[in-house]
Parts: sequence; structure tokens; C-alpha cells
Amino acid sequence: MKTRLKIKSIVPRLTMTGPVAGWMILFVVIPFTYIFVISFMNRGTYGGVELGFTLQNYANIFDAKYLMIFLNSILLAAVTTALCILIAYPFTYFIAQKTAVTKTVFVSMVMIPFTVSSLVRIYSWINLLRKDGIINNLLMSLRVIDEPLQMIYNNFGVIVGMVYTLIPFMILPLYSSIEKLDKSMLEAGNDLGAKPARAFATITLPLTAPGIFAGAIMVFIPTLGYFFITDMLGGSKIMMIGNLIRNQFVTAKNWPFGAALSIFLIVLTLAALWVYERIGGDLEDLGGMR
Amino acid sequence: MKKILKQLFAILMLAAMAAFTLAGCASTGSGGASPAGTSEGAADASETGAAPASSEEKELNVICWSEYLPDDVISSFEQETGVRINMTTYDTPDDMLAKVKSSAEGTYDMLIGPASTYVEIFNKLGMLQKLDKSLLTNYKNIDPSYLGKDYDPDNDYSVPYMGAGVVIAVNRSVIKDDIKSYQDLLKPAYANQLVVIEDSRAVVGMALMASGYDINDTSDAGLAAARDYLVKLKPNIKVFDGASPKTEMLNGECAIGLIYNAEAALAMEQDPDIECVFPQEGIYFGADGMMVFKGAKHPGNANRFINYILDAEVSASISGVFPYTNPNKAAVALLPDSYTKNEAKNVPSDVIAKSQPLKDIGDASVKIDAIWSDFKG
Repeated sequence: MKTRLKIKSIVPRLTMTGPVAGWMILFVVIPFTYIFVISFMNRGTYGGVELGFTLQNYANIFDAKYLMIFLNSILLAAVTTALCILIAYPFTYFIAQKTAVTKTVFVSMVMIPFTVSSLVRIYSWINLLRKDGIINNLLMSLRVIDEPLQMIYNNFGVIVGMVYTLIPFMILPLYSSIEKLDKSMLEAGNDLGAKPARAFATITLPLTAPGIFAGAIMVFIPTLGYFFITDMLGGSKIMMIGNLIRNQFVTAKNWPFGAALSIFLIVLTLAALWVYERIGGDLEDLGGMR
Repeated sequence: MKKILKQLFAILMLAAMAAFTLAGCASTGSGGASPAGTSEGAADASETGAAPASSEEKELNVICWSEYLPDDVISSFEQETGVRINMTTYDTPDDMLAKVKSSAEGTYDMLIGPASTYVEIFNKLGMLQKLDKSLLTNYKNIDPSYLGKDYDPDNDYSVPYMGAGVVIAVNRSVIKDDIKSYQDLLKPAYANQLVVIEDSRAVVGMALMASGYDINDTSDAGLAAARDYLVKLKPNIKVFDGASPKTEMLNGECAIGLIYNAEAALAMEQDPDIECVFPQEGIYFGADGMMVFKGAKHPGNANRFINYILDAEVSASISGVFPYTNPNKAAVALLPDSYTKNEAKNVPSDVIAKSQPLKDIGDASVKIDAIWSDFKG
């Protein structure tokens, strides 16, 4: 009787959590452990690792040139995040006021591009932005500019690509928090004589802040790692943390250092999440669970 | 009763999930069954005398530079032999090494890549197998000056595919002054004008040549000079592109290119303003070779494919699409003057004589990697 009971309780649990656990072990735990372990090993001349134990890989991270790359990446990610907020907030506020049908139309306009590979979409940005691209040709034929603008293979191009790729991650959390906004609060404020600007600053903004924080974290963190955007729109010469890690595994053939950098990036991410929680963010807004 | 049904359902679900997972693994493992129309393919093959051994799957996994092996050649080989070719491409030799090293043995059957460095590197790593010369009936087509190099004295491991050099391509409608040497590229006037390939050894090697050192120099003085040169060159570089650098030349993004000779030749065909310059310090020129990996699952197909490529007509058709310098003298005899007389395509022998090939430099390659990482980052 006792064993029957056990089976009774194990089977459903295994069914429910088994696949997820299996997935997590296969694609998170094993790779993570592998990266963690090789980050303490020595490099092989032609890539790969040689057995041994060293902390040198972690010490190397604090070289001035790598710290500069970290600083640059964080700066670029911050600019991307700020631009995403500035663009997404008014847009989301606007659609949140619409009828259900219009809302659906706008939200699907944000979501549908997701069905196309992001590589393909970035290639189309190359065609738009380059010297003899569509935007430059249009501006030149309208005589707005005489010389083509340099919009690609520099920071500008990278930021355009990042903002474009990541803006849905800002819009969706913002949308859910703006939609939840209690209109009666605004009406009450209005009755008490608050001008729209004041009402926005003291009512709307604080109440939608969780959405802004959640969106900011969901844009900021991927920006650090999206190396293909910096490679394609930055001409392979603008380095973000993601590019630096990739280059350690490919061009520099220093796998252990690349692994150490990955661990460092994970720590950086956790630090960002910690800051997020400290300033009042809720991890549940990110789709995670406590 | 209901509970038992629930449990039964749960177990069934579990079994189904397990089955799906395993099925997924299995299908990636075998890489799919042999292609349809096998018998037809075999019939064709026996006519051309290239019948694949019955013990091998009709498949071949090739890793090759991008923009180097025309699709037509692949599909005609597939039609003649019924062997399906799976292509993996790379833009930089570093990329290739990372791909090969991080894959299980047998993932790739053969490589088309830089012979002068990688025959030695892969041999040190014990990753190559000897070619089956009995299958290479077209071996005699190769120009002997490309054979018996010191990295592979008897060509046991590699046969030349194409000779590729790095030249300076200049768009004369933008750049009026004379560019004759690598040093000329440092002019501040060329800020943000260059497209450069992504090959670390080749680019650092050119920096060494620009500074008067041998392309394979690893002395501290030489590397310091190369580093200096690259630091000065950096502000002039707009984009690194190892896959198709001609694109940036043709769409007006860059006016000067430090690019592969065939890329320059193709750009010149589309834009007559573009010119090809052989820098006076000498160019980097090396033959890419075809090699077969140890542990290859389809070594017979690999050797047969190599022999197919060495066929004069096939080789000539490759040069027609990607006009690199062809080491196949029987193929060159078939090619028109527009190829043989074009210096960007058929690099003249006096330029090749002055050129320098790359060699494996062993542990010193770590130093090159460091310079390259600093340079790009």
C-alpha cells in the first residue's frame, strides 16, 4: 500500500516537472557547468583547453583594455535602453487608450516581425542605412542633404539595430502595466486640480514604473550579448561584451578566457537584476518566479 | 477508476515525450537516409567511372571558404554520383578551426582551406588522413610548381584547390593618388575608406611585410612594428568583411580594399573604375588545399570529389565563377584570355615569385592572436 502511494505521487510530478527539468539540465546546467569548469583551465595553442587549474583567466579580465570594452558596452546598452523607453512609452500609452480591436492590431504589428529571422531583418537595415541605401538616396533626391550620411559601420548603426530588435521587449511589459492603470486615479487628480503634466508625473509615471523597469532590464541585458548586430551593423569593429566573448572562442582561440568572460557577464547580469530588485522591481514582471 | 485512468494517461504522456526526444536525437544522428533516386545516380556514376564504394553512405560533409566552391559544381557532382554534399562555409580560417575543433571527429569529411598553415596544424593535432592517390587520376593536371611544398613534400595530405592572394583594390573615381605599397594605405586622407578581410594571420602578415619583415616573422621587434602599423591603419578601416568584401567596394561604402584577388577581379568586372594593385613589398599568396580528415565517415567520396574538382573542365568552371589563380594547368589551357590575361584573376608568376606564403608558427600564433584581438577590439 505504501509503495503504491509513492508511485501515485511520483508519476504526476515527474510528468509535470520532468520535461522542464530535463530541458534545464541539458541546456542550462550542463553547458553552464562546462563553461565554469573550463574557465579555470589553460588554453590550448589551437583552441580547446589543456587540463590544469589557474585563476589567471579571471585576473586577465581586469586588464584596462577589457574594462574599456565593458564600459563601452554598458554605455551603448544604456543608450539603447533609454531610446527604447523614449520611443516605446508614448506609443504604448497611445495604444492602451484604444478599443480592444485597435489594440490587437497594434500589438500584432509589434509581434509579427518576430516571425522573420532577426538576421534577415538586420540585413534589410543594411540596405536602408548604407551609403547608397534607400534612406540616403531618398534624402539626396529630396535635396535635404548633399553628401550621403554615414549611418552604418559605426555606433549609430549599432544603436539603430539594437533599438529596433529589442523594442518589443520594452513595449510588452509597458503595455501590461499601462493597461492596468486605474483611470479613476487620473480623474480624481483632475478633480483636485492637477494639470495633465502634474498628473502624469505624480500618478501615471509612478504607477507604470514597474513596466519601465521590467522593460529596461529586458532590453539592457540582451544588448550586452547580441554580437551579431554589432558585427553586421558595426562592420565587425565595434566591440561589445558579446563580441569579446565570441572572439575569444574564435579568433583568439582562448577558450578558457572566453569562458571566464561569460561567467563575468552572468555575474554582471545578476548584479543588474539585484539593482532592479533593490529599486523596487518585481522579478515576476520579467516572467520569472520568485 | 478515474485515478487509474489519470495515471495511465500520465505514463503515456511521459512515454510519448521520451519517444519524441529520442526520435529527434536519432534523426540528427543518422543525418537522414540516402537521397531518392539512388539507383539512377549509381547508373550515371558507373558511366563516368566514379561509382562510390557500396560500403559508404551517399553523403559527403565539406567545410570550405564561403564564395569559393560554386553551387553548379556541387550539384553536377551530386547528379553524377548520387552523393549528397553537405556544405559548411566559413569566412575566416579562425572560424574554420573553431568549427572543426569543437565538432566531433567525423563531422566533416574534407576541408578546402589554407594549405600552407593548416596541413601542419592539423597534422600536429593528428587530424588528417592520407589522400588516396589511386583515386586521384586527375592529379597530373596540377602545375608542379604548386606541388611538393615543404609543409607537405609528397602531397600525401593535400592537393591544391586554388591559389589566392590578397591585393589592394582601389576605386580610381574616388582615390586619385598613386597607391603602390602597404605604407601608402596609412595616409590620413583615407580615413574610414578601407574594407579589410578578417584573416588574422594574413592581415598581421601584411603588416609585417609593410614593416620590412618576413610574413612569418615572430620576433618581438617584428611584431612590435606590425602592431604599430596596424594601430596607424585602424582609423582608415571602415569595415572588416571576410565573406564578400567586394560588396562594400561596389556599393560605394569603401574606396580601398585589402581583399582577396578574385573579389577584386569580380569588383573590377562590375565597376571599371576599380583597379588592382600589387603592393611593392610583395603580396600574401598561398594555395588553398583540399584535405581529408582522419575519422571521416566518407573518405572514398571525399577523394572522389577531390578528383572531380581536379578535372580540367570542372576546375575551369570554378575559375569562371570565382576567378582565383588556378593551379590546374589543364584547366588554365581551357580558360579564355579574359581570365589568363587578367592579372587580378591569374596572378602573374613574377608577382607570385615575390609573394610570401604563411607557415604554421606553432605557439607563436598566440602572439598573433593577441595583436589581432587588440587591433580589432
